[in-house]
Amino acid sequence: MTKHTYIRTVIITLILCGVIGTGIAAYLFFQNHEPATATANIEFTFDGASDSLAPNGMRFNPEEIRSEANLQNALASAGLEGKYTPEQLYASLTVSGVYPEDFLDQVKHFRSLLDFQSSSGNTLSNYHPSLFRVVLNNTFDPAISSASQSALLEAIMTAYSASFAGKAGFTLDTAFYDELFAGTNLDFIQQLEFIDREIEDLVLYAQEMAELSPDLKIDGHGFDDIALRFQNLSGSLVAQLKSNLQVNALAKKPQRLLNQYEFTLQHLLVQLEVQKQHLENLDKLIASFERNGTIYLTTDTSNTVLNGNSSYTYDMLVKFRNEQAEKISDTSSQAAVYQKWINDLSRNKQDENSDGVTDLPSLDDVAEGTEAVEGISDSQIAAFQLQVDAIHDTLNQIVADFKALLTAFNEQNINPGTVAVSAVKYKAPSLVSASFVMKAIKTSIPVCALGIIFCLIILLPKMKQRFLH
Amino acid sequence: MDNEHPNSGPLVIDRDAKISLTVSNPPDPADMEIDLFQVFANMGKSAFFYLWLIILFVAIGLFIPAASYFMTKPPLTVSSAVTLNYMVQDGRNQEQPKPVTDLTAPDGKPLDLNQLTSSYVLQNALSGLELSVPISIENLRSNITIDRIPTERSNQQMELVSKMIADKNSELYQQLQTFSFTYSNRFIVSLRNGFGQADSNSKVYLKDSELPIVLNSVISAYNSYLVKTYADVKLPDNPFELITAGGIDNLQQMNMLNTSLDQLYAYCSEKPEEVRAYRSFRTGLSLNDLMNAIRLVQYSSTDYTESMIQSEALVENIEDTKAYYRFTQQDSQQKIISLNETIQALNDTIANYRNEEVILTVQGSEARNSGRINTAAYNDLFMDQVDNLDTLENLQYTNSLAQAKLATLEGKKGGAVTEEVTAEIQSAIGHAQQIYSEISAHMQDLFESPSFTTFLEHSDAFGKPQSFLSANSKRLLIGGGVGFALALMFWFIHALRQDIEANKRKFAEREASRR
Repeated sequence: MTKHTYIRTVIITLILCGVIGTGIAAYLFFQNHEPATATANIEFTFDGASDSLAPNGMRFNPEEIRSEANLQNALASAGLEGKYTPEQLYASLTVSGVYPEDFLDQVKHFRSLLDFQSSSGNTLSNYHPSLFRVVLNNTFDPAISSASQSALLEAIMTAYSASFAGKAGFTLDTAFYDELFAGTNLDFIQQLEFIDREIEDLVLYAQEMAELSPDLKIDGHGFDDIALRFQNLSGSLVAQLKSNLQVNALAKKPQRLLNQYEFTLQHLLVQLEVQKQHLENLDKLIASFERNGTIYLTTDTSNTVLNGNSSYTYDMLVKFRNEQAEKISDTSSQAAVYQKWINDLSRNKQDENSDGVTDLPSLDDVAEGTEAVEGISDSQIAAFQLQVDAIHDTLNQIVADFKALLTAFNEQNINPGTVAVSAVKYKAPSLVSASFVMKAIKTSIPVCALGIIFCLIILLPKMKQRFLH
Repeated sequence: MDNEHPNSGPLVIDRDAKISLTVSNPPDPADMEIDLFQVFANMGKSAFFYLWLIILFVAIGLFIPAASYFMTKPPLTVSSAVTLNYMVQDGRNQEQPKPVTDLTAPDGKPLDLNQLTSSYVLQNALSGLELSVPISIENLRSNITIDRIPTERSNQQMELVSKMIADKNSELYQQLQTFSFTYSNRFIVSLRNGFGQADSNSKVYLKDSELPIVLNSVISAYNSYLVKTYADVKLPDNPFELITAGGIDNLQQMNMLNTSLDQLYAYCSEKPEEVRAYRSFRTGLSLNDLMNAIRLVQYSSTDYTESMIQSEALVENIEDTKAYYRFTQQDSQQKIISLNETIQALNDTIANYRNEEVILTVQGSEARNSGRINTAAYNDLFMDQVDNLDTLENLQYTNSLAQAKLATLEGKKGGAVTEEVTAEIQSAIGHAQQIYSEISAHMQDLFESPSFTTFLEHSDAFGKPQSFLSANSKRLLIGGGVGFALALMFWFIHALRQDIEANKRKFAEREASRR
């Protein structure tokens, strides 16, 4: 055998081994292959994202990408409703937060007392990922094309982004108040009370927003200005009209209003009586409580405290008593207000005390009832109604400005910059894919190694013969 | 050796003759020298063959550990860190719930981590997963491990205790024994590949890429279990259908409507402040706003209508209405009597209750002191009595109100129920239903939001199969090294043998020439 023959034999053997290794790799690869995947990343960078808090302060969880509603929306927008079901996609979709590689070690890490050099504790004690990887594995349709699979994932991400923008921001819809308001045949004072309560809610909302975003302004106006405008409306126009109506006993149907006040007063008086009795009972209970002190048992090596939770129980009883006293005070003041209104509306208003303070009547007095002053004329009703409508229009104008500010807040916090979805990457198992190359290399190397050993062994006698003799 | 024997006859020694004798030993094979230079020269001559042999031995030396690694490859284990994230109720104390800081369940009791491997959780985890090989719940359970994470303080205590044991510091060690060992609100869940009996050879293996999916699914299923078990997701009851069912008089209808709205208000007010402050993403309304709306509707709609009906007695059958109020009054009166008896009995118990007396004595002294401490049972008696008094207050309110309403209706004959009245009643019921629907939708949104459906967060499943080189570098190095050394040894021995044989040949030649 010549030198060339040796080389040829070795090369042929190695090539053969490589081919066999690649063949085995290909067989294993397609026999047990990973599904084709479309991958996209979504990153949240608005304030609070690192604490898993959406701009509206509520917790968010990108797992919602897999929710039935989101998948249904995605299928609808992609026009694939009949073709695939949300259940199919749910099983094929994974959403995982991207954590630091050493996260588990960090979780287990603690600051050793014996290590005086150690100054840093667990830096990831409250870590929440803000970058999430979304993978759509094709386990639902072997015939789907790469473009369609990528488009489907894009539709899922778009549907989630839209849903997130809708849920994670703030909104204001006053239709609820309008519907309640529209369906009632309210007297003026009730209409104003209605507007006042609505304003009360809106002021609170605007103040919350001002605290959350004090710097957001449109044309120089921020949420605090909105709150102020609401308060001004309530404190000026509404209060003025209210006082005019009440002091002058002006109502569409004074008798009905009077009936209602008496009805409410009746309830309040009953409540007051019962509440006072309850307070007395609580006082007796507190008086009977045996409040024992605390015993400390101290030795050289130990300190034991025996207190029997006595202070806590006593404090709770006192707390209940205070709450009850507050309730009585509240009910009493409400009853006084209603009594004042009844006096305003009834013919007995001349009997008021000169200082405006009214004594609460007995329940029997309320049951007898009183007669109201006469109602106002139609022209007066129309005039007052115009004033109420004007207040309502002003309120609507402020609400519109409030909505505009909320929209600006949402756009500032939730936009493609703060909720960034990356381009979809598609990866499918193929003979030119990196995963196959790796698998082929991994499988071929042992086969080739075997081939080399085989070559070396079969050529060994020849080599011996040639080079040793 | 140089022996001269010119003649073969007897040796004659002359007087002046000199004998010159040279002693020469015969050649000894043991005296043969090994010439190392010659050995290396020999090695050089067979270098080509032995380089070939070295390659062969090194290849075999590398192949054997590699083959053994593939045959006994350790199964992959993936791990995920789980962080509990919910509010914990503080038992009977009426304090606001606090964020969880240890392994306490939302109801204040210890959290049962074993539920993570319960059949219910694992069954839910596996349902819907399409795995390359099916695995049973039992096999999955046996491959899951849960590691609790001690708090930093506990870890440091452990450290100190260990050190003190080593230092034999018994006094400090005794003090430290009183410290409790606590865990943080985190734990690590690990899943090992290779499912089957521990001693079985026929284990099934999932693809490495499937392990994280299974682990994530198990943790998600455990989260769902926690939500199902602990989340207060009860929607308010809808009593308004009953009110409109018919056969109920106007006043009773309004009365029921008001009671239902009070119940709806109570449902909302029982929620924690953070729930009440949540603003709906659909309307911007909070539960606090909706509670205000309930009161507003009661004020502007139900009270307005009910007061009209009551004052003018606009009921179809006034006697039926009176009978209803009488019944309510009598029923509540009966309950008040019964409850008063309970309250009195409890008062007697409290009056006669003797709290625990603690007697303190000092060893070796006759000094003696005593004190009393409240028992838990004694404190509970008072809390129970507070509950009784609350119930009494409600019953007295119902009773007195029924009495007051009855007094209002006394002497009245009842007016005509006009269409206007009926329409107003329907409008009041409509408003109440509208608020109920809004509150239901609001709570439904909240219950489906991550704030309610996320009781725990978990990291990605960590764990990659170790790369072949990093797992086997040592064994490959040793295998290759041994192969190389063996081949080198053969090579050297071969060269040495050549040298020895050459020496032997020389010796044989010399021996032959000597003879």
